[in-house]
Amino acid sequence: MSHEDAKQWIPALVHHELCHGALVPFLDRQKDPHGEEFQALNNLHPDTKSFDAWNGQSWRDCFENYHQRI
Amino acid sequence: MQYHHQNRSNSSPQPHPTNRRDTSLSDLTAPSRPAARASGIKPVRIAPSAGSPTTPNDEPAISLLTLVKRTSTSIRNFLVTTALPLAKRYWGQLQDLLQPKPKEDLHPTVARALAGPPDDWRHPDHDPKRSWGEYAKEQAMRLVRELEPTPLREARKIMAKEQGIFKKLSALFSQLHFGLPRLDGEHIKPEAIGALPYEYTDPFLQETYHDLRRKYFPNRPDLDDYKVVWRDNPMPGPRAQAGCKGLWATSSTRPERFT
Repeated sequence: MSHEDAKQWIPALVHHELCHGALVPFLDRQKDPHGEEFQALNNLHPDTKSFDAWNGQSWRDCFENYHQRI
Repeated sequence: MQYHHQNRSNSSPQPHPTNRRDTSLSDLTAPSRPAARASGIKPVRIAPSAGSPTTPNDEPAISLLTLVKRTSTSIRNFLVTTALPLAKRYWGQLQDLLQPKPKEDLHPTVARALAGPPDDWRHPDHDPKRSWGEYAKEQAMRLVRELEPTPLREARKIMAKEQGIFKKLSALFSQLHFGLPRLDGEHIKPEAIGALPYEYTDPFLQETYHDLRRKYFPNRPDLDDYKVVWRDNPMPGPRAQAGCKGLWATSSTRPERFT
C-alpha cells in the first residue's frame, strides 16, 4: 500500500477497518468477521468493489488463507 | 332487425330438426333454441359474407357491425360496472405492485451498528479498574509462561480447546501493540512481550479514518478512539512474505484488533 498507485485506495481500506470496529460490539465472535453484515457495511463505501478488484486477493481470501494455515 | 326465430311467422314451414341443412358455425355456437327461449337469450348469427353460398332456410343474421357494436357495449358495461370499481378498490395495492421495490431492509445487526454504540457494552473480562494494557500484559505473560515450550501452532490448538483462551490471547497480543509472532511454528518467547513492531502512522491516515467515521457512522463517536497504524503484517501468506505492512486499528479501550 505504500506504492503511489495504492494511495487512492486508502480510504476504502480504512473504511474496511472502520466497519470491523463498528460491528465488534454487535457480532458474535465466532461468526465470520467478513460475513454478510460486514459486507453490508463495507459496501457503503463507493470504492469498495473497485478496491477489491484492484487488490486481486480480496480480504476474504486473505482471511481464509490465514485460517487454512493455522 | 335481423333476429330470427322469435319474430318468425308461424305460417312459414318449420324445418324438422333432423332435416335442417343449416349447419353454419353461428348456429353451432349459439344456444339451442329451446334453451334460449327458456333463458331469454337471443341467439345471434353473423351475416354471411357476400360470396358465401346461402340456402333457402338461412335465417336473417345480424351484421358484423352490429355484433361489434354489441360487443363493444358489453365490454364498456363490463369496464364500467365491474373493472372500474375493482380498479378503484384495489388502486392502492396496484400502485404498490407497480412501484419499484424499495431497497431491502438493513440486516438487524447492521442497523444496530449504524444506530449507535451499545449502551452497556464492555468486554466480559474487562475490569474497569484496570486498563486493557495492564490486563492484557498480565494475561499474556501468564499464558506465555505456561505455553512457552510448546510450538505456537500446537499451543493454539490447546488453547482453542480450553476455555477459548485462544481468542483471548489473540486480543491480548493485539492490545499490547506488538502483533502476533509469525504463525509458522515459532515458539512464543517471553522476551517478545513488549517488543513493538515497526509501526507507522501519519496524520493523513488518521484524518481519513475520522472523515469516514463521521460520514458513514455519524452515530458512532465511540469509534473515534481507534488509532489507525501501518504495522508488520503478522498473517502468513503472500502479504507477510512480501513484507507488506498491514493496516491496523487499535484502541486503548478495546481488546479487539482487526486487520
